[in-house]
Amino acid sequence: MITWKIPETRKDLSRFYTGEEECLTALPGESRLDDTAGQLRRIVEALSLTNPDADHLPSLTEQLRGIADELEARTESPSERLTEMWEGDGVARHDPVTGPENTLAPPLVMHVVEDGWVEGEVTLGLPYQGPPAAVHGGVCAALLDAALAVANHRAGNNGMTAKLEISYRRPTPLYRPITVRAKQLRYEGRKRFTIGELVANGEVCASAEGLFIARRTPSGTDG
Amino acid sequence: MTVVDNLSLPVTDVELAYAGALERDAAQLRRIVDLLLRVDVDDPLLLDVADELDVLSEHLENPTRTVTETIRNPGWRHDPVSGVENAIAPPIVLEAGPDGTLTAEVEFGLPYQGPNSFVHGGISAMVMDHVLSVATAPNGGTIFTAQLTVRYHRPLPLFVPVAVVARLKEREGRKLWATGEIVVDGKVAVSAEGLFIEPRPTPAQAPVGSDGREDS
Repeated sequence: MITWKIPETRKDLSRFYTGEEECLTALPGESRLDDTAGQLRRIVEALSLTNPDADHLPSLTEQLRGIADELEARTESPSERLTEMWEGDGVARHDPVTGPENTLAPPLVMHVVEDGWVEGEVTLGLPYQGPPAAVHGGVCAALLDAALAVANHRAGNNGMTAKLEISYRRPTPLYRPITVRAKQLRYEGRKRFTIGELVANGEVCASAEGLFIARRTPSGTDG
Repeated sequence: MTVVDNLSLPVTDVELAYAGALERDAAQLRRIVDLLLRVDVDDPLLLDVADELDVLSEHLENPTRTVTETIRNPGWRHDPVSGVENAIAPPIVLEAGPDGTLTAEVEFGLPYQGPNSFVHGGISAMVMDHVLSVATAPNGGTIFTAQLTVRYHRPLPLFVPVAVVARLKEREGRKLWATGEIVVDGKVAVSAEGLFIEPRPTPAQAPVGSDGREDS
């Protein structure tokens, strides 16, 4: 396992709700890296939309290698980066579902809505495809796991996923707005019980039930 | 061992050349996905990189295929978990043992992080869904997840090789059950079971389902 220095003050994956915040996840557009990750998402999708055309093969390998090499020369070791990316207050920006700095993330931005629910909307393209024209079932699972974690933060107590059960009712469509919503139902000691769903065209495509357990830390429980 | 995820290899020379270009591009893009999380967030080089990517995308987007066209012909090896042509996939390339069990070794880096220095629970779920679906449809047919249960036994660390395992347990008509695990240091960190449904063969679906590796 990697050795790294855990900072004294550590960011969280989403914001705890104090009654004022509307947005619980990192807001895109706040760092230089957000724009670069956005351009990278664009090219990943553009590549997926190209054609097998003999005269126009998408051969960008050398240009991309050049960019990667330039970046590589400026990187720090993973352990140094780990300390930096978690250091400080507020919300981390590198999550693979909600993080605007992570190319993997659509990113999903989640807001507080009524009755303890949190909600966000995403539209996913070809890089997230499983069956034809549908979002990959694993991507649905990742969206739901992340949304349930945000709902735990909204409720004021989070935890690590212990069990995630997903029921897929119908294919989740690509290139259609998907509403991702979640709510913590209750908690008992270190256990948190949280639900969520993906809704498209007014119909529930997938629903999730999650059990989360708060980590034990020297200063109490923490996610 | 047989690699099970590259079964639907392109057949014509153009398709083969295209698949090769996509795979090489994706490998470099995957490097950039990782490297963006390893540079300083305010590095001025990021502006140049954004500009260069903008120019490259512009070139790719002109002319572009329509989305409908692409969906009807989804291509090969494109999914977000095993897809060697997809930069957001680690990619997890599965091999089949003599008893049909699928295995892969993978090491997750910073883009897959959830809690500090550990793999995101949603990423583990995504990987499990995918490898279980491949166990139910190793020949690349379309398959839909109906139910997936993922249990997290211990945190899964980044930057260590982990073993991903999946197997088909039972089949009853169009229903298939599969189980799998993610194992680190000989201990199960994540386990999963899933119910998958094969689509009913219909004349309208047949051409779509038969031209690529799909899974849910």
